[in-house]
Amino acid sequence: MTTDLKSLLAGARIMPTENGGEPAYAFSGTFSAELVTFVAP
Amino acid sequence: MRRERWRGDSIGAVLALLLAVGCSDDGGDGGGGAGGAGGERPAADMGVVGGSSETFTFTELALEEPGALAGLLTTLLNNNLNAGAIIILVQIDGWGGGGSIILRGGAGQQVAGADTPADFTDDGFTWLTEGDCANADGTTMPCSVDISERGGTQTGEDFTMEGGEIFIYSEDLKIIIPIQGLSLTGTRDGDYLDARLDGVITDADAAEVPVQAEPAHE
Repeated sequence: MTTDLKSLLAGARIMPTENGGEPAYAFSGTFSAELVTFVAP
Repeated sequence: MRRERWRGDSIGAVLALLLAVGCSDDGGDGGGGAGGAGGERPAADMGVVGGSSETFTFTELALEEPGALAGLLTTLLNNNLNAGAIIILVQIDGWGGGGSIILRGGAGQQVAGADTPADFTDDGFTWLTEGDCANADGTTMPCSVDISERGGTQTGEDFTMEGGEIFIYSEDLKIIIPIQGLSLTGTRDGDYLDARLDGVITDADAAEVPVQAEPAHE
């Protein structure tokens, strides 16, 4: 059974707001992170 | 769909945000939104940055000790995917090299590897987002974006990046989420990064993203 992301969000009572004249789910997040080194296998 | 080990140039930053879907009671209290991951890994200072029942809720991930990344992300993922959440990771590659700066978006379950607390510079991680990400219906989209030519500034330790659009992939949920209006601003101080990521998922895009009713993750 599949649904779509919009329905999933609506089920969670997450509704879009206006963003630049278009309904959208705006988000922002802040974070602190250590820069890590990725190594080849 | 390919699963391959990412061969990084030298340094990347893995930035984790929690996109909580169906966790409306987390909103705005400043703590505990990550489902206890921080409690299992004391190195992590996690808390809800902002949110309410009407907005996405994000969790701040602060790594305070070297070597905690892999275990932390695994715990973060396991605790939240089962609650219907989506983990957004953004990996930045190419800083300081004078070449392209690549943003790769993906989901935490694709991060695996070993970390060594004594020397975090030799940690290795696998990463899926090189190449295309696949939807459950077989369609694919690129999961990385070169933001080098899309604008950005760097003044001393401060930087801004305008990434346009990036596709976030969740393997467990088999969905690709387009994030538009992406911007990243922050400060890099040596091996540490403080940054803010902004973006939107349009209502129209959300209606086009199919989601399995039950996440495949056990």
